[in-house]
Amino acid sequence: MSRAKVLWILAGVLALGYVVAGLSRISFNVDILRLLPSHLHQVGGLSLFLKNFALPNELIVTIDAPDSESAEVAAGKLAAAFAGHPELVKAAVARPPWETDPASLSEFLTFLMINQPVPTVAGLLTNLDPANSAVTLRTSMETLETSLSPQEIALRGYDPFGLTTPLASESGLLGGAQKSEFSSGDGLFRVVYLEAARPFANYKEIAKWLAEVQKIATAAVAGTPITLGFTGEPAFVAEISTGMEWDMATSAFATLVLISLIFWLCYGQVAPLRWLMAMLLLTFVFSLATAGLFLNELTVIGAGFASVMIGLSVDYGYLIYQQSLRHQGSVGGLQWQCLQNIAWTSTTTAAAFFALNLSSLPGLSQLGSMVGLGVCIGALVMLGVFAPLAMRMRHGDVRTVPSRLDPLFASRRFAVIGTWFTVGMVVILLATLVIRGFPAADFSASTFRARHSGSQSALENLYRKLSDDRGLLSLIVSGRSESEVLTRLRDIRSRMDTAIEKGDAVSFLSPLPMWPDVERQKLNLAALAPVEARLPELKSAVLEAGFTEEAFGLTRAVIGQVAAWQSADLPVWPENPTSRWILRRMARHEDGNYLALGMVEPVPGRELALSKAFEDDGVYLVSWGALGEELRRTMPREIVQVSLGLLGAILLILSIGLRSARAILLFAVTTALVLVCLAGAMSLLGMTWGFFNLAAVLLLLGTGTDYSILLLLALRRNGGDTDAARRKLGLVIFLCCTSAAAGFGSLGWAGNSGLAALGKTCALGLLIDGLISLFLLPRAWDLIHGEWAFTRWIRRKQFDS
Amino acid sequence: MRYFPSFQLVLSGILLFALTELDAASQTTTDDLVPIRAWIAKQAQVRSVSARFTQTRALRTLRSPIKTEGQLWFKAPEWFRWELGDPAKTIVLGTPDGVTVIHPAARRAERKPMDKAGATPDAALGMMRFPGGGSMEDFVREVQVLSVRTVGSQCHVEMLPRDAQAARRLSVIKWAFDMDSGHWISLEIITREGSSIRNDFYDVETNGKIDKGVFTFDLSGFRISDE
Repeated sequence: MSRAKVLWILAGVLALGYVVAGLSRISFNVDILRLLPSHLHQVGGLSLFLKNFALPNELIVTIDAPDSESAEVAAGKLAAAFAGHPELVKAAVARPPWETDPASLSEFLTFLMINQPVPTVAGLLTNLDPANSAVTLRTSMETLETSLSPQEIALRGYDPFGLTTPLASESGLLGGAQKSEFSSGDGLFRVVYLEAARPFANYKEIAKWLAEVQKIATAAVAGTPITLGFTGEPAFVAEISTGMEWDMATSAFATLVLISLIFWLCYGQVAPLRWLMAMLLLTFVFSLATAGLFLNELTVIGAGFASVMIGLSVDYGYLIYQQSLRHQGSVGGLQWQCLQNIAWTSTTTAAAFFALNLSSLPGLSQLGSMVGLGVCIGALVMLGVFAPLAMRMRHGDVRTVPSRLDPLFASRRFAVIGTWFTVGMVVILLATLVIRGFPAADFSASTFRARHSGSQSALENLYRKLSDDRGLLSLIVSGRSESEVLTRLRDIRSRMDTAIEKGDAVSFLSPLPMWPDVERQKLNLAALAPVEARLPELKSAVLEAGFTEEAFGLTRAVIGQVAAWQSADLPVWPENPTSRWILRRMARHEDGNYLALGMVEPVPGRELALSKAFEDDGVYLVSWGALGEELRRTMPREIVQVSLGLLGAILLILSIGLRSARAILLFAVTTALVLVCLAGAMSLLGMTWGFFNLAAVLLLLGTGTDYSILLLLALRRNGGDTDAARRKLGLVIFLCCTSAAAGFGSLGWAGNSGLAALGKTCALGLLIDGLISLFLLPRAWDLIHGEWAFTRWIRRKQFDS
Repeated sequence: MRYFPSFQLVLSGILLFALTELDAASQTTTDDLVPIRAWIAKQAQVRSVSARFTQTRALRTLRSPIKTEGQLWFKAPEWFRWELGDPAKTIVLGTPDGVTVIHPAARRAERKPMDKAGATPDAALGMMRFPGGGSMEDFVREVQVLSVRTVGSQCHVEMLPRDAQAARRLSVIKWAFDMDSGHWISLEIITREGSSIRNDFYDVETNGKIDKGVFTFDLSGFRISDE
């Protein structure tokens, strides 16, 4: 075997290994906050919320029934069905844990009690004091005799010493709550919470688990008029991840089909098309493998890279193939000839996409890196592999013919029609912009979500029927220790009282009563310790006062818990299943990660101002609404800054390449006109500006500017002859434009609303850019270079003769 | 945002410790409801009611039931006074503006607007808030009638509110009335955990003259909290 052959085999094996290693590392991150600037306080707070309180292993199964009895029966059936699958479900909770095990609640009540101020607990001890216990019990009996509150009657019956009274007055936790997180008021809607048997390794595992759980649930209620819904973190992750996978595969496939169609229409050739497709697949696989090896998890935006990259890389293939049809020299000659164009366009495109890393938007940065890489790999593959193949086809048996569209682009009539069409389009779009104004802005959370989401529908159903907290702000307080969080919580409570007085907030539900205070716990536990020895005496007093033994259960359990915690390390956290259930969405206390969660009801319109007022270290007052408002305020400025930087970089590169102030001016004017027309088109089509549309502007700058650059380069090479430049590159620009528009346009059907908006905006912008570059830019060149109709007529005559 | 229940949601079930399963509700026919329909029709002519009652609270945590005497006045459409204890330890005054709960001994009062007054316990208030807005249709919409039994001129009804949130803590509501006079005889609410509150009415007078002063109370010197 020759040495060259060995080297080729070795290179092939290495390439295969590279691809396999890269593709095996591809994973998705469905957190939409990963797309947004992490320096924004709202993003930081919501990320903390999702990471710590969204419960990645908890699936929420919703039940809609025609009557409350069916709903309750269905909830029971589901819980029983899941209990039979311990390999899938660790726990299926269909009713509050304290309803099935009331005694377990005493641990949490004791925890709340020992966190009370020391004087409050001293007051409780007074109630238990031998001298006062009889009076305390008599007062409780009077309460049971005359109270109108069913809660007070129920509670005092089981708590004759009033141990829980300060909890109600201190935190308001025990009062007035009639809502349930398990059932709607009318009982027609119920919820079962499922905890997965074990943590999930990746999204594929989640999707598989969810499918199995759905199958069991559907079978459990088969034949009944029950409608099930599935939501919660696992449902969202499975839905979004598989959606992203599907979006990436289908949009890439659709792009390839559309490109094939366009190529076939132009050339009617199968062999070069087959090779072109092979090159695109090679580029795609290498780019994806590179992304897998060097980039983090793919975000929902990153998933759109494939179709964009294919739509861009094919441009170089078109250019090479078109040039090869006329090229008379060697492969090297063709490569050198094409390199000049490809170098400029791929440099500007890659620079534009890599420049997205300058933005503070991680999702966009990722897309920029991936497409930038893809474009570079695409340029190398096309120049290095496709150019020799194109020449071999030309010199070999494969019949190569000029494009069927070549005569069209050489036709003056077509140029005139195209010019008038483009002028008409520009006039209509500008008029629309003047009359209807800029498109409306929409930065709401809905723009980040899947367009058709079963998980989201189930969640909204749950909000409607249980409790809608979407108007509230979540208060997230983090710290490196319990004491740091405690200090922050205390500071916040006093400031929040001021905010309520000032009219910025309506109410505040502080997690403070549920956050341990070491000093209080130490003193209260010590103060309550002697009570254990007096339990028999207290029990006798209760019985003598006319209560049953059952009435003493809570007192015995609480004092018993106090005794159990006497030797515990402080601070004490309640740990039994009921306590964990209550605290699971309110507090986190892993080593080095201490978080408390509260709720604030803001005065409408004051959400962001209130959030800003609490922007301190480790303190976040957040909501999706406030995030949208913050994005609306910060994103346009950010995008404008990055766009200006990007344009500056492109102009700098072009000033070296074109070395003509007038050409640079033409480029700038063309780009500005494209953007203004795009705004007009969006207004005409009723589209809105949002985070993704703004990102699309950056992509458009990176992609669409190629067309004007190609034409300006052609004009320069042809001594300013606009007709000749269009004849040579008109078809290439047409192919590039339609392919890239097909690539982006295929994203218009993506499941994610944002990705779809990005795709549509880019496709629209590219078509506008292509038309303006192809038909108006040459006219503007003539005008700016003082070439009037007469001289152009003379030149045409010369050309014709 | 992903679903996040509030504190109150999470802790809503804390108050009741042990609940038992509800027996399957038996079905009633339209014919069974005739006495109730007749009683509701009779209420249209009621302009005022005054009555005395004995309230018996039999709680699982008490060795023996607590009996308390009380008195009530009602004047259509929305005026009422309800007193528990003699002398009154709790007074509830209802006016078109809202409900005021008065604790004379503690010199304390709580005022609730009408929309929140619905949260007051129906059992404790006896006849003051009865399901339905005065029509059989409203009654049936709010209440599931489990059984209707007549003994002489007395009609005994067992029922449950259709509101699942309210019903989940109740075993049954027992209501008895006199079919001839339309007077209430008793109202008893039994919870799933086995406690009950029962009102036995006597000295019932319908459409008698009630002084307007009954529906007022001098709150001077009282600590008043508003909801």
